Amino acid sequence: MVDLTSANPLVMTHFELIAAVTATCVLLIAVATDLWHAYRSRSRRLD
Amino acid sequence: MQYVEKYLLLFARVYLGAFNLASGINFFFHVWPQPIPADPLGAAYMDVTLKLGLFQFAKVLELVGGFCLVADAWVPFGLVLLFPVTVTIFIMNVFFSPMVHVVISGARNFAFHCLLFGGYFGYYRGMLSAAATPRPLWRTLTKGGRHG
Repeated sequence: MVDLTSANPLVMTHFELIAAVTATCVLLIAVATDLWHAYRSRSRRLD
Repeated sequence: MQYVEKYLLLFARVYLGAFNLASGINFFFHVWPQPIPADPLGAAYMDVTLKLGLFQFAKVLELVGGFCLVADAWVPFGLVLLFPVTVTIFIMNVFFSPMVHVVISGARNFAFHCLLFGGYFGYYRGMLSAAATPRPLWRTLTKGGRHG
């Protein structure tokens, strides 16, 4: 059972941090993958 | 423009999923102390839902729904699972919490959820049939049972 006598709403920021870091990393990987595919297909066309 | 849409939906999906997954894991594995509403009404609500077992059930929904969103698997189903939790948190955080960061958190999660419902709307279109006739599970599972 959770102790309801002490409010600790700052733990919410831990979840925020985890969510923000995870989402940013996944977004960066997706952008990098798309850029890489675009670069590859462009260089193939030029060859 | 399509890229902006894709990245926006990706960010919202992973953010909402990771937030709920972290919250669910934290409840069952006690990584950090459980966040407790700072307002007395919220704390009373949490106490009652804990005693009824609804809070624990909500955390299971967070785990399953959060996993679906992060893993990009059964996302429309995960969004439906998580919606009651998101609405409850939205009401508690935005209208009752005295803390700004908690208000923003509840509002942002609700906005992300609505955005994702919009982004995956094609999967819910069938639910909006005005004159829906029964399509029983036991008939749709049988071979050749897909009709009407």
